[in-house]
Amino acid sequence: MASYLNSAFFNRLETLTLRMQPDLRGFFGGKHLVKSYGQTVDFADYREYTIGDDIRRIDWNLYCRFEKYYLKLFTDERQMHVQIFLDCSASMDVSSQKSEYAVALAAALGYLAVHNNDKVSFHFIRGQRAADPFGIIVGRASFFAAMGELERQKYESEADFYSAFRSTPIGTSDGLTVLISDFFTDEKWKSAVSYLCRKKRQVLLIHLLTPEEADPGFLGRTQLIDSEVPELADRRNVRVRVTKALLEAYKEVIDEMRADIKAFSISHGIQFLPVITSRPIEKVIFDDLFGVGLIK
Amino acid sequence: MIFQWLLPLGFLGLLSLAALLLIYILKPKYQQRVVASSIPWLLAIKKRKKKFPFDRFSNIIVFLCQVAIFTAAAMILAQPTLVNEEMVNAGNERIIILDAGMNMHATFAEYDGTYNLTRFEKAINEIKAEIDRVLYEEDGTISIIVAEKEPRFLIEDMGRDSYTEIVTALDEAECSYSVPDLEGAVLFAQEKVNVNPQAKVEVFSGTDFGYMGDAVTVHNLSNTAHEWNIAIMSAVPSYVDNEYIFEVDVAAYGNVSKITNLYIDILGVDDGVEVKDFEGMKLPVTFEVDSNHLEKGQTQHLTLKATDTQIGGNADWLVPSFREAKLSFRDIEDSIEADNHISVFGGERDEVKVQYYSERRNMFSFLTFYTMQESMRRTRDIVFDPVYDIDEIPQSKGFDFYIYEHDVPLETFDGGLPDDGVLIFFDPSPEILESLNLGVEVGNYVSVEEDDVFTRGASNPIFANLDPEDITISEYLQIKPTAGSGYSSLLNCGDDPLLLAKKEGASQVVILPFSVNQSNLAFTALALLYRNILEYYMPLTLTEYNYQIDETATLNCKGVRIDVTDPEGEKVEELREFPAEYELSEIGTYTFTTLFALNKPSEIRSVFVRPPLSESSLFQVADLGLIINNEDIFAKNTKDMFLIFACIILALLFVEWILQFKDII
Repeated sequence: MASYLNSAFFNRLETLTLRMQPDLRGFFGGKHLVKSYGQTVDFADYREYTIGDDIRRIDWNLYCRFEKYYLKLFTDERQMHVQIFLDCSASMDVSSQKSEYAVALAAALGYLAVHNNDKVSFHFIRGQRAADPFGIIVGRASFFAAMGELERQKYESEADFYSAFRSTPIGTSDGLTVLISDFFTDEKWKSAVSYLCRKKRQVLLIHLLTPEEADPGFLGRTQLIDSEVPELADRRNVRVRVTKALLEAYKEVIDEMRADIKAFSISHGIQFLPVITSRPIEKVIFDDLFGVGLIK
Repeated sequence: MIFQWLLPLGFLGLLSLAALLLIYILKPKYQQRVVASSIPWLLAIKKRKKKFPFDRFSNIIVFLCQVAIFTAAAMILAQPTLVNEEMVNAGNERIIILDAGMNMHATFAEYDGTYNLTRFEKAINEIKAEIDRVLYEEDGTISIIVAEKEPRFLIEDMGRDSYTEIVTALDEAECSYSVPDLEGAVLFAQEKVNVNPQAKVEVFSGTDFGYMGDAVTVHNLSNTAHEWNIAIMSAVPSYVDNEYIFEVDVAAYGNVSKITNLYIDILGVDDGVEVKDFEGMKLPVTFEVDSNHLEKGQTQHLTLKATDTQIGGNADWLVPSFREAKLSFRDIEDSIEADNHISVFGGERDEVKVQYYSERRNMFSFLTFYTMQESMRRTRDIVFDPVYDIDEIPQSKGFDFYIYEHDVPLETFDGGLPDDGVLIFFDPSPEILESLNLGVEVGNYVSVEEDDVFTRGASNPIFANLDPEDITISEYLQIKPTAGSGYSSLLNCGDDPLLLAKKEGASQVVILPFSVNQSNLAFTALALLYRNILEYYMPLTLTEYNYQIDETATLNCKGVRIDVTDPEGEKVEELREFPAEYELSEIGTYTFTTLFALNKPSEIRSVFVRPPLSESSLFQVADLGLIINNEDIFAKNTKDMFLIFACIILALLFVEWILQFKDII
């Protein structure tokens, strides 16, 4: 992680702010403007007085002009809860580059949240569980304390997103959920993400692949051993003669997988970011996330 | 165009397929590679299979391609070659087959009584016209094959420059009386056609052929409207009830409607008193018109007897023997004259005079010779002259066989041994053998013991049909032939001969040194022994007297030589080794004169040679097919198939490359 997350990198992150959706409800405090009216000093709108309103908020100047009671409304700023789910299945650790990259992304997003006075929690999905070893992190001190443990996570077995989400307390419309995964799983990830959508959370899906996964460079007779299924006799560990044609088909499959995730994201109002680990993480943060519209 | 393998051993290269199979049998090694997930790979494989469903067969197609490549390579080793056959054209050539069989003598009388040209003469004229056309209009060449007993080229491959020679050869050609070997002539023609398939074959014959090939043209010279033939097919004498009768077959071919006479003259009839000629007999024969008889003829069987007064014979004309019987049709003018007459021989049975001397009168010898007489009655007259009187001196001249049994008065041989017949000594005394100087050393009388064995000696017809094991002799005189005496021992008891025989020029002697009284020989066995001796020393010169031309007569000789005289009366051969085979190549009467080493007159026997029976049929339809094979004769032009097979291999390699690396393109 040292290669990605260093003080210079974090210093640059401090120039950025997470762009949260305004219809989130969030928590009291914080820096994110939301659609609801609050107690800030930024004017938002007027509306007629109704019984029960706080008479202290009547704009008397308007009363003088229109002889009607209008309330002066101000925007509200809320604190969001950023939940970062990291796929800790064995497939994410097939190369150290991939796992480090995922951790770096998670840390960067966590730091952005902490920097914006948001609450952050890290969830490590293994099997049907999503471990939450740090709890809710608020403040930089707590964040950096957790960073030491972040890179020591184990990657093993498979990841069942749906079960993991269901077993994790997820608030309704109170922030952003980030899922970092290679999505080498079955179709149940869609149910899991749909669950998040039903919770009215802002969702960011980061599809993380290594260059070798995006474009394998080997040919010939190969026994492919699935990192999540170490038993050689398992039918998923196929013997295959890798040809150029098969590689082309593989790349088509990867492209289709991404297109599928993207289409699902568009249809559900989800932000989606495909990432190849060969791309410098700074570019992902400062360019790609800009493109997605998550940061400003 | 024919495909051939010039070096079939090259197919041993197919053994390399075993190596290929071994490679496939050995399991390929798969490298192991850990991937994040095999899910996309499985999806890719599924996608690939969906996109290219035949991919699953690619491995087997690749294997088949490799097998085909190895096979094609082995085929190249076997040197594949295309043999292209180009038709040979050696120019215009005409091959003429001229039938020279007896039927080509056929002609017919014109209304004015003059005879038309024979078939052969007509054929010669037509061939000359054909030669003119071929030589001068087609500028071709001519070969003429004469089909007679043995086919031969009259001329061969002659062109315009040899016209005179061709015509001369044709003018000198003669028609034979043989059966033509048309099949052999066709083979000769086939040899010519093998060289030049465009050669045409023309056959000039009086015979119809069942089927003909395209390359053959038959000119049938027969004339069914005018030609006809009457023939004496056979005449065989038959000795019945002490006289000869004649079994005769006559036949007519063509549209014949005739009542004619078969004339018979029997010459040299010996009734025992004088030799007579019975002439003037004739038997009316009727042939009716029947178109079905064109080919197979209308045959009749006749039995002729000289005592038959209805045919001009006489009740007194008994024929106990005859020298020659002449049968002929004289009043007809048919197409072939040569088969209108025939001479019959075989009516003179051999007379064999036997003198038997024994000091003891006995019925045993009488029964023996009577039995022998009866058994040989059909072919020989055996005159038996026994001498039993011990005071009588037996004759030493005038017999064919002199048999002396037991002791003989030495005065008998005062004038020397008989020189005109075979001497047979049965149980001779030692004194006789020693005094006559017969070429044997005489020992003592020997009694036969129980364990003595009788064995057959040298192979000789004298001992035919006799088994030594059936003979028992109790005592015999021990004799031994001197060196160079020429005896053959035919029966032995131990080392002692019991039957000595020799036949060397005038010295013809048989010695049996035992008494029949001290043996178990029955008179029938003894008769058989005498018969064998007679057959050995005096065989019949001829056993068959009727022949067709080109047949072979088998001759035996009583003496030392037979002189052969042909139908023209010329002595043509002296035969000295017997039995002899003599080919009768002319029609007519052949005479065989036997000359003896013994002091006796020569013997004359004759046979008649008639034309071939089959040729008397004028309108034959031959089973022979005149098929000349002129289609499959081509000059071979070979073309190496190496390049084609190399291209096949390249194509297969390309296909394999496509299958193996098609994802590249």
